[in-house]
Amino acid sequence: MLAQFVARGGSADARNWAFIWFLIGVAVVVTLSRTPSQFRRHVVTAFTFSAGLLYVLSWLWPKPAGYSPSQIPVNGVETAGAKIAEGVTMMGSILQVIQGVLLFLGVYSVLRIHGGRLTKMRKDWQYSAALLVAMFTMIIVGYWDFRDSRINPNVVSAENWGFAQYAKDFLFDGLLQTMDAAMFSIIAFFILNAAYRAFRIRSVEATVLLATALIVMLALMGGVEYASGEFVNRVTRDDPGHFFNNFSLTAIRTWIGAVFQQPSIRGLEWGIGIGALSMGLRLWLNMERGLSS
Amino acid sequence: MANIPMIDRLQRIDRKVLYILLVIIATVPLFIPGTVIPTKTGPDTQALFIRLNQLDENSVVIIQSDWTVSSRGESQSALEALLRVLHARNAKFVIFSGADPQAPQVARNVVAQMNRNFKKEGLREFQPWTDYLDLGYFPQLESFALSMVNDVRKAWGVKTAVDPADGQRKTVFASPILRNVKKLGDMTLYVNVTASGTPKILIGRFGNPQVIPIAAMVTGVMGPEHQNYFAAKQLVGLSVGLRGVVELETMMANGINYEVGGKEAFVRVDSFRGSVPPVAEGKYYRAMSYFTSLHAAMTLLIVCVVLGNLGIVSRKLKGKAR
Amino acid sequence: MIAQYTGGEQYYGTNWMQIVLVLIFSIFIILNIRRAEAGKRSGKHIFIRRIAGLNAIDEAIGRATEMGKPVLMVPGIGTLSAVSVQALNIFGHVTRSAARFATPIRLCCADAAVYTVAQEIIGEVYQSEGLSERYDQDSVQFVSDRQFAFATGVSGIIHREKVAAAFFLGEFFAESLIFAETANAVGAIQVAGSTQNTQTPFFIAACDYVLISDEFYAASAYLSRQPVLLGSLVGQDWIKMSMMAITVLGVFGNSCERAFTKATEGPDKKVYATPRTKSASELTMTKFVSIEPVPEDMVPKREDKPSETPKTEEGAQ
Repeated sequence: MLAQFVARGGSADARNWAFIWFLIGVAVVVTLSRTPSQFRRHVVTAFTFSAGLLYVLSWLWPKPAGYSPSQIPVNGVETAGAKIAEGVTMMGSILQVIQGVLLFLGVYSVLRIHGGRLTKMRKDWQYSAALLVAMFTMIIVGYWDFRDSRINPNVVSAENWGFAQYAKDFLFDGLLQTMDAAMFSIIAFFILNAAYRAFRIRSVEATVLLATALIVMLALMGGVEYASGEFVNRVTRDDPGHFFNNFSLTAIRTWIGAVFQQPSIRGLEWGIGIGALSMGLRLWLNMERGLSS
Repeated sequence: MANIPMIDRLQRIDRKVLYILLVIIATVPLFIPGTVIPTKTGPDTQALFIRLNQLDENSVVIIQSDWTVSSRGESQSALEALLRVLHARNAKFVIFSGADPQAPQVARNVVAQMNRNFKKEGLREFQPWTDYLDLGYFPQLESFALSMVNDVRKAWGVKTAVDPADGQRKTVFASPILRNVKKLGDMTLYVNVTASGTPKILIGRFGNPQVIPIAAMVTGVMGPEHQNYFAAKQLVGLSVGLRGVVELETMMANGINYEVGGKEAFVRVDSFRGSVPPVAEGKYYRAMSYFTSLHAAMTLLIVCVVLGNLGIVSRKLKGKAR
Repeated sequence: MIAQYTGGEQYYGTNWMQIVLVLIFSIFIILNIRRAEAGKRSGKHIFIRRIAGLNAIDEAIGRATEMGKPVLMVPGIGTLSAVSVQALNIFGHVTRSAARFATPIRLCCADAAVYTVAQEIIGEVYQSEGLSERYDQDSVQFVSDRQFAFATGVSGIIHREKVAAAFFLGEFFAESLIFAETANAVGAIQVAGSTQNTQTPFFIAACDYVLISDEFYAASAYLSRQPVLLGSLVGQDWIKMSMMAITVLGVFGNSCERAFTKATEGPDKKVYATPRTKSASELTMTKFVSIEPVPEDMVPKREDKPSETPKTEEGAQ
């Protein structure tokens, strides 16, 4: 049964190298943990800088036109660029593995907190028990279904479902997805309440906000927009150059979008992007000091 | 409470009353199927529909499906409309997710549902390996998108699928869909059906000029942001929210610049020289079936906003009169 | 120039303008950090305008202390990134104030990596204040990495604990309105800020104070007055002013060129009998920033690598 979960493919050579690199990784971690504290900051700085340097080089390096990774580079610059690109691809794979490991960190965190609450019978321990039971049930059923699909790919069709497939369907589609959808639907109620409370004519700015929101909401309703268009066509007698065409809901909504909304959002996105550039530079060059220190 | 004028009471309606009204008004239209609301189409969805109709049986479309059931009202109808057009054009597709581990299973469920619908309608079904490939989930989209640009064969090479010819599990690049693909640009179109800001990540990583044209089908709340990218031509087509999919379904039903029986085309795009016929096969109305509910809910929202302001307006008018 | 050093014209579509601009912007930021550090040593202070949402922090904590209710902090649901680190830095400041007044805190995380960093930051804050005995390890929680499970968990905490102050700073998506409305329902004072422009309107409708767009990034500079942060803020302002200048210059230049010059050649090198008004793509400022595609005859011939046979998975059935 365990054979279904072991990574397959690749040569014995690749598996040997993977083991060697694992040992090297353990040695590096042990060495780092024994590094004197006055050198740790420099080690962290070096690692951060090297990791970021790969992506900066990848962005700065000239990209040859018409080049595909299945082709042989024609000169030194293309060869170096290809090596950097390979490094970025490899780093992407490493980050995906790290992301998977972080999932275990999350599971460990849930086990620590709720397991502790359960074993010490603290307040609301029953909810912690329910959480842990749900978590392990989902993990077991999920892996059972995965194993079945590796043994018999036909299990994907509903006619070939076994217990694991029915259980997974019930838990995932029947429970989890439905509860997810229900929680998202709550937002509709909150939007109604927030709009009712917030869209009040308290000031000039609030009035402008209210009027704009009303126009955009009316234009969102396709039937209303279509009807307004037909009304304008009747008044203008289908003359596309008539001045009254500017007062159709479509024209007003498009004008609000193009003249107010898009430039404002562009400006906000610019600010956020520049802030992210600044923050990224500070992290990469180790200039960032936490507020807590 | 008895001494408070009615007009002031309208400003203090209990939220429970509002919630009950919303439940009734939003759900009743769902029990009245078959309503078709005529809708004008916008340039963003027109561009998307025109681009999709340029696909053929040699086209390979990448679909990045980054939504879960929480946004299924908008996103499921978007994915279904997209798959309908791909089916009609006989285009091949590769589907995966980059934002949420739940998303691949949700996308698989939609493809399976579409196949059941096709079977009922007497149409051919999507066949794995020959019509589509399911690549699953790739975490860390920021670095994964760069990996795809640099070497898509390495980025996707770890994924396998079963070849129905011999029942063997092989790398996805052995399939007829991806056999001749050496780089990302060898594929025709990249469509991101999403409820999160993933198109921005793709636009940033796919370079300038882009290695592959990108189109997006986003939820309503993401629309204003992504309109900027469409205006800057970094997106070749854009569908925003439920309204966007309704516009797509309208064009699927009526075509573009397509006249039938001498009647003027329902959807006219003067900047497009040529015409696109409607999608002849099958039934496509999921978004339209939700559209009446949307109208009802929006009407309630507008009425509530107006009621909430009546008291303030009346006080201001009384103040001016004095 | 690049082609000269790289041995082929196939690079000149590399969008050098983008690279030059980003390098200049990076220099602006680093230069101003150095200036700010030098200024601090000589006693000069950089002015930042008042941000209402940040002034409300002390007010919010004071209210929570009076009511004896906790302060809730949520750093968003994104992974460990610049945004979440920024949010945690601000929460470190909030925790410092809360620790001094013995106000309980609740910090709810939706990502395991953010949770680990949050624990470190909050623990360090209590330690640096000499108030380690007040630090409750369970005050920093990992709730769930699923969006709506996290929303449900946090809403439950808000309702059960009747939080008096709520800080929502970081990367939020659809759950933002759930948090804001739930906190509003229990009467909490709320300060929110998100880098997601799509969620800002929801926060504005439901929260008391909102940090819009890059006020979020300015927040850490405002709270700490550290020269690194102040300097980078000034650098960001220089970048914005540069972009405004380039935009105005571009619009003015293009408009004048279009109004006062005519084109005798078309884009296809064809000569026209009558000079005509230039189209947008022919204007000098537009050509300066746009990328020309590399002609086919300049792309060198490259050989293909030996092809690899698609592998069958070992042990597949």
